Amino acid sequence: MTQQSARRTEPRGQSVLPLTHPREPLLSLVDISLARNGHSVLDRVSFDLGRGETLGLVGESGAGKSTIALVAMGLLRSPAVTLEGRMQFAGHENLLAEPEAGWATLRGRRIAMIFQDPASALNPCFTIGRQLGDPLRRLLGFDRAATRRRSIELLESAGLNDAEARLAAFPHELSGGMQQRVMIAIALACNPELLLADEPTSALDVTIQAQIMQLILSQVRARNASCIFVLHDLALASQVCDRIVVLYAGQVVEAGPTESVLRRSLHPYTNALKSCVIEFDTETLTPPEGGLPAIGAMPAGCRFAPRCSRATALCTSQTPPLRSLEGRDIACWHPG
Amino acid sequence: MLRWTLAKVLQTAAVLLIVSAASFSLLKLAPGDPVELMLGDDYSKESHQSLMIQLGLDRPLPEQYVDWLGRFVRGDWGTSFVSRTPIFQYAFVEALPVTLTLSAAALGLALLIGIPLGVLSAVRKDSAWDAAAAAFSLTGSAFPSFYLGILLIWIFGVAFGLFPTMGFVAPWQDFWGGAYHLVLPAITLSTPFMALIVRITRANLVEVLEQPYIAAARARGEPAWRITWVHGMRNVLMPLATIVGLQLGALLHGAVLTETVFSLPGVGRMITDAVLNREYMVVQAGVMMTGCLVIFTNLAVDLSYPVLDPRLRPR
Amino acid sequence: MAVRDLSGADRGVRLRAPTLLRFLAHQLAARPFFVIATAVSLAFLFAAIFAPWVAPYAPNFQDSDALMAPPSAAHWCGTDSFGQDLLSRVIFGTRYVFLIGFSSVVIGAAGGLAIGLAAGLTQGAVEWGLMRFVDAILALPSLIMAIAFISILGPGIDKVIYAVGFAMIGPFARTVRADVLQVRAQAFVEAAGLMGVDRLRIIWRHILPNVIFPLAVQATIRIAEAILVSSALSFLGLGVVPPAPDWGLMISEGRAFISIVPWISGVPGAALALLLISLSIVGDGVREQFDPKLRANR
Repeated sequence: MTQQSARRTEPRGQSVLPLTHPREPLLSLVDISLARNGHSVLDRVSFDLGRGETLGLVGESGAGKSTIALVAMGLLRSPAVTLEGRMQFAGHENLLAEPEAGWATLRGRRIAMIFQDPASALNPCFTIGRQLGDPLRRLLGFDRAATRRRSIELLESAGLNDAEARLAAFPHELSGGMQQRVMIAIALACNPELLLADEPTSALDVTIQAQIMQLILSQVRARNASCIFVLHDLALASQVCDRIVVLYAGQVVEAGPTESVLRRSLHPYTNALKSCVIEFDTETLTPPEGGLPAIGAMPAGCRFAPRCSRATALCTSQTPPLRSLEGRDIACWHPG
Repeated sequence: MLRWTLAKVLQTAAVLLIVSAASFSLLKLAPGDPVELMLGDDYSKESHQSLMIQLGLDRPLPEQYVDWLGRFVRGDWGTSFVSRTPIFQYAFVEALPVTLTLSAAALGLALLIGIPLGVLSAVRKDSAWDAAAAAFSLTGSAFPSFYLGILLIWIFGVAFGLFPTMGFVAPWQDFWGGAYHLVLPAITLSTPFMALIVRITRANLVEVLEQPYIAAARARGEPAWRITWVHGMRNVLMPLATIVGLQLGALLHGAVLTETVFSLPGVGRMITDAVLNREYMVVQAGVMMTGCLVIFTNLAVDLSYPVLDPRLRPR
Repeated sequence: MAVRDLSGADRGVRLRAPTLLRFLAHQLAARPFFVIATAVSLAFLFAAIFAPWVAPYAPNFQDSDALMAPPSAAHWCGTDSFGQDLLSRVIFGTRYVFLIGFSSVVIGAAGGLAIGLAAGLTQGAVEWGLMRFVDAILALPSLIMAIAFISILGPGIDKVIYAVGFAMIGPFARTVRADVLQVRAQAFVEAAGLMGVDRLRIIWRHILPNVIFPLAVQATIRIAEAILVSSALSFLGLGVVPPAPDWGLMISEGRAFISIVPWISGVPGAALALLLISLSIVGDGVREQFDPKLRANR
């Protein structure tokens, strides 16, 4: 059986890496652990995010990436969920310990989220104008005329032409790409400091993907905001993210500047992910064997050990701590 | 859009015709000779014959049907031989408003209590509230309404003497008196309906609240009450309206029983009395009227779909 | 005193009982309401079948010493205005309830099957016409339609069965048609047609089995509805004729005395409510058990 409860008391350690920007980190997640119905989903996840940085949360489906994003928005509060750890953001020491009222001032204004499937993330019964105008009116106090003007501006800067006509349209009347642009416009309407993008292009055509990623990046940089991308596409992450956090089964296995982590990966899982990326001159594919452990059956010790070629008895008995090595954080007993 | 509306109207017209044909054949299939019934016990062969010709009963059936339909549309529904009043007067002017008032009161009550209860149930899923609401909705649906009416009469009318147990007072003549008399009947009639509304609201709202657009709205900082009532319920309106619209028939069904229990002079009571008195023309009028009511309501519900669900509107 | 060696016999019983008991206990823990409701419904059914042996008195036996008597040792549920024992009448009433309930549902299902199949398998103008016909049937609430039929047929238990049965054809037809359309849209039916299998065979081998099962599930659920409508008819005086111990009739008879002797209406009403609620729970359980699987198959 699992041994999460014994492990949880020791912190795995906060990231000790120098950040890209010397000022205080914008967001700091420290030892976030989440259990659903008694089963561990996240285990002591820690990372920092500086101002103006883009960070990529990378991993397989089910690794817990979207869960982290939802935790960062404070959207995972239900009786079945137990959440531990600290989240420092916007001057709040630990947002996770605060009641709902504390979150209400932040959501939409200082922290915003873009969801994976724009078609289902937009309310089918309300017009675009209504959904875009709501945060402007409610959070920024705009009047009708100002809301309309700003809405058109936002839609246009999101790359939608004929913005005025779009205001009266319903979500189902737009294509997937347009819907995602609307979502981006809504998320950035109040100029948040932090944007969470949960697989923003997974549901879109390949031809649109690049445009949308470009849009998000340019909009985020124009506001000097930070962005966390949740991605399963390592190649995409390598192109858009300053830093990368590699997740496996709810644990951080490797984290650091994209360049260092990807050029010379120290963790066997990162290497395995890299080998999955199909490049122009790829001749053979060697996907890693096996899959993520089931939620209720997390192995003791390093969770990747069952699939790792370097695993030893130490790996299966003790979870490796996150420590700094060669310019990044890594959790492995046998890195390199 | 126009085409779709026209198609709907055409369908409705066809259904109305079929219902009218069925109502017409009701009279024809009824046992007993209508002419005999009208003439009473003592009649001669000549008067029988002349009345038959007068009523057009000697002509071929299709011709009689058309004739009857024409008269029906014009409001000539015949005369009741028991009360000697025109049936139109009896059924449409006197009885129908009673039934409609009762139904409206019951519907209002069911929505007023049912929807909030359903919402509460959905928002506090699996709590004690939810369990209680589920128990109520199960019991309310299955409980025989005429028995409920009698129980209410016994408890509130007889034992505590709080409410009147019979009779109808028109609210448009005396609002509070009318309302007072409607309390027990409205509760009786609305209970199964309320139970259904609780169940439908809860089921749909639970499903809606799991949708990504609700999480997205929360991510934008919408307060919880708005999430539930504005973002959530707006998407529940359509399935709710569908069910409510379809339940009008059930409401009339219950009205028959409630009117009997509480002695309200509505359409249900009219039909029942008519069957007991073998007044087939009245039965026919009642059946036809009920059918038309349900059909027109269904049409109204159908036409309201595009209003409620933007996805159904023409591009 | 001889001591009989029962060890062998005991052992046999003891070995079997725990397994059955364990099964029941497990079911009771998992779905308590469903099990209780099924037990109650079966108890009523039992009462219906074994009425003459279960009931303390004959249903029409008039005890002239105990007219409108309250519940007592002699009459557990009291007596009505004729001195007839209410408990016995309720027990005998279960026969009417189940007879009418089952029979009318069978009629309704059969009629609904026929019309639903016809509506689902035809096309064009014929289908349109049949659909309008079904709409017309559904336009009338079942009680009013049953009343209309009674007005033509007259009162009596057999007429009630026909009336309620006919009134239920509509809802069944609608369900059957929907199922038929579902199945028809499946690729294998088209494939069968393309391979030259004749129409009737397709209906028999492919469509019918997929339609019968949901129909059976629906029928189980609608028994409660049939009972409700037939009781309502009797309550209105349009159903079973007195002095039959029909529950609706009994409730109606007791109505006049509600202020002085409430149990004359109260007892049969309580029995009706209890049975309907139990059947409702059973129906829900049945539907939960079978419908999701059906939906998954679709």
